[in-house]
Amino acid sequence: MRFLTASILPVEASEHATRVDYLFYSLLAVSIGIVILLTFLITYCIIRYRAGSSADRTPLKIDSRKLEITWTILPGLIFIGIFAWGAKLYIEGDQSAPRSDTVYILARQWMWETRYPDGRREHNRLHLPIGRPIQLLMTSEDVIHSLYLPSMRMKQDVLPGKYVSLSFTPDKVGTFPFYCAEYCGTKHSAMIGEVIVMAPQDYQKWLTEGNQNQSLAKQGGKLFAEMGCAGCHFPGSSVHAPLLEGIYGKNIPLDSGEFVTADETYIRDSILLPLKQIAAGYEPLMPTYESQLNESQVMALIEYIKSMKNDAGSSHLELRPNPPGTKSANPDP
Amino acid sequence: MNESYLTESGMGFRSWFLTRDHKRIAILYLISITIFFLIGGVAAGLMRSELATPKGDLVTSDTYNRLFTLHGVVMVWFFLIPSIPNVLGNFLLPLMIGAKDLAFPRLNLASWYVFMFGGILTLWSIVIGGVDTGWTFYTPYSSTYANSHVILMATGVFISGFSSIFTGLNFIATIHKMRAPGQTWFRLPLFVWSLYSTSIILVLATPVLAVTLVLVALERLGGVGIFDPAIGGDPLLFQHLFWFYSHPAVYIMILPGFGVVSEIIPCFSRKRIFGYRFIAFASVSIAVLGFLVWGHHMFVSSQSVFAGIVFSFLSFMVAIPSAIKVFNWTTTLYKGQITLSTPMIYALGFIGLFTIGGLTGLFLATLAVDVHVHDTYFVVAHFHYIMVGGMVMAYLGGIHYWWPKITGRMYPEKLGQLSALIIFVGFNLTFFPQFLLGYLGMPRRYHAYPEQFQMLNILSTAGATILAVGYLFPLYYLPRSFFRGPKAPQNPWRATGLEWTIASPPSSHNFEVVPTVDDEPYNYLKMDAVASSETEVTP
Repeated sequence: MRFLTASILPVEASEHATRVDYLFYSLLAVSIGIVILLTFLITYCIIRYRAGSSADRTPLKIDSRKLEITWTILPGLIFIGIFAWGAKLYIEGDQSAPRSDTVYILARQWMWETRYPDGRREHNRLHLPIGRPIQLLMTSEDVIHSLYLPSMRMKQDVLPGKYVSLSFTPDKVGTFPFYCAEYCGTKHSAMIGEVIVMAPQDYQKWLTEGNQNQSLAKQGGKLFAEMGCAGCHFPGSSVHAPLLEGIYGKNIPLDSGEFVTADETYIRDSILLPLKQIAAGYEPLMPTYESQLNESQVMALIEYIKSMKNDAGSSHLELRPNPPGTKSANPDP
Repeated sequence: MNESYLTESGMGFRSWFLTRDHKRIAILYLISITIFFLIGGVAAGLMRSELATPKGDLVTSDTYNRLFTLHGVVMVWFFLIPSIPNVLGNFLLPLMIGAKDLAFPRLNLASWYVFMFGGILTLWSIVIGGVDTGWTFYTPYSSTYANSHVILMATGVFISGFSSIFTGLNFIATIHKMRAPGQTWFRLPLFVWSLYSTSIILVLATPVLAVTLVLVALERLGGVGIFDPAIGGDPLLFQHLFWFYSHPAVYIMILPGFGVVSEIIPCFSRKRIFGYRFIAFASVSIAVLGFLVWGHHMFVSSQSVFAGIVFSFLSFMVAIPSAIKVFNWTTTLYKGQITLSTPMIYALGFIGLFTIGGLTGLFLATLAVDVHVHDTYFVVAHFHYIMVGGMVMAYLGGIHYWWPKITGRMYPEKLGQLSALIIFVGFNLTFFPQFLLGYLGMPRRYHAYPEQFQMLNILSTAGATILAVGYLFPLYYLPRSFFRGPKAPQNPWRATGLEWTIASPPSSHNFEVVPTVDDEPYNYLKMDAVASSETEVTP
């Protein structure tokens, strides 16, 4: 019996997984019904109407047009029903609004790097608290990968040059596998890892113990100073550069007349490919940092810029940007 | 023995390789794609052997990745796409419409040469080291990162695409202009309708594939930033372009199968096909709607939620014409006179396997379910049910059905029935466990896998062994029957259709006099009534 449950019924580790399974099994029931019906009809015909049998073959007086319309409309209605159900779950699963807990994931051939806002960093493992909505913010350093969490019935391609988000709420403590689902080269099948879902207090303990790093935002703040970003991005600068406080999530008017939301991808592009989108009213003066910063460092900068808010209150906000220009911006060595 | 297309112009090298006879070109295609099928099949066999154990211990990861690329590229472009259109279509289209040849016989021969040139380049790229991108050539892996002979293989595929376009153009022109007097559109056999729909896709979709492959080459060779974001490109652009071709290409790989099954079922039920017009229009609407559903390959690609919803809806709509066909075939059986000859076993097997393939397609069109099973073995199982369970079953059914016409010989019936059953059983044992593997979460294109998946993988590998045995049977008895089989009469199945009114095998010029068509197709009641009145008269 254990073999059966392990090999036929996959683990469900989130409410979404249960809902997807419910839809899946309903679809399965409809499909099995159709297969049985067709098998029965075909077998019946083969036996009863085998060549030379004495079965009655006087043509039926049926309106074939009505029959055709019936078996066009009826499956059509069933299909629309299934479509709507699947779409509803899909939309609910895609709550891209910021969630309470964010974890950054950087994919590269052939490993997953997980970075927590508190500064912890690990490879091919993802620790999560139970019962809290999680948002994974992911990007790739090279080719397309795909984070696949079968126990959550969740999957999202991870693309280079773009931040994608995946949200879910684990509701079962335990260790579950995750895989790379998009073929990415030689060791694609070795690009696997484990999600470890923990009780909230265990998770808090895990986050702090053995953590040698500053918070991700602080690491970003350090880079912000080191790279001289603060030289232009401060109120009294002689260079006309946009101020970054509170910019995250804002609607930015562009030179081209379009608008773009200042999300992770926008911030990343502004650092690495500044000429791609020019904010309206600014000269294209920003130099590219493509050769000086890697994706991992950009990730820290993004978290720092997200933490630069005008109002206090966020957990990251003990770290206010120091007055620009002062080298003491990094208290740590 | 009467002179036929096989003997009339001699058996010399030039008489075959410079022939403009559509029937001889069909034979050239038959032999070439059989070789490609064997190459692709050996790759599949090696992969299944590797997957019998969880560890990657038979071949290295790099070899495994080359094997599945080889399998996909060869089977899609050098077996499935040309299979029914270029072998059976080439042979039968002029015969079914009472023509002497296709509209452009030289173009037809050129299409074979172009096909072989592309095929040889592709094989060459395999011999000198292979390609490890998968048949989908996803960027930026293929354009920047892959360390293998991507350009050479892509060139092979690019060139073979012209062969598809030539054939498509040729078929469209032939069907429009060369039908026999009296053969209106609704007196065409449904096989011709399916070839017509297929040709539309071949002509309209293949150029997009060519453009896409050229762009990959530009980026890989010239460093032009098109798909790689590191040089300013967009990796999703590739997926849109690729699937804009490759989803319609899926219908290139199944519509001709619909056509074959629509010929076989009425013949072995001795009944007019049910819902002729609905089946014909279903083919055309699949060809049209097939162009609008490419985005369902991209539900987890970071395509917008709105796009996902639209593509999901359209994908459900394209399932309706397929359902209509299945219902019409089943109804055709009702009150028939059914004989389970080899072609009929293949046709019924097709209905069963295509139904499962189609229904699991609905799972994949369902957004929330697809997010889970996308890029897992569920997808692998689904498209093999369509392409192998559907198209290969139909192809083999068609080969058996028209074998007497093509060769003038009968194949051994008992052996034919037996191998059809072995293939059906072997196929299900190979691919059904893969649905379970996919739902359990085993990703595709994995060289090594976690141990909990082993049991189902062993079942699948065992099934593949049976399937291979099933395929070897016809490979043995069909060529043998060509030399030793009993002579076939003109119309061994008492089938309707112009191709059965001429000698088996036909003469080079097909028809002695231009036939006229004055009746609907599949009028089996009339045919059998005439036959029985003749037997009454004879004594």
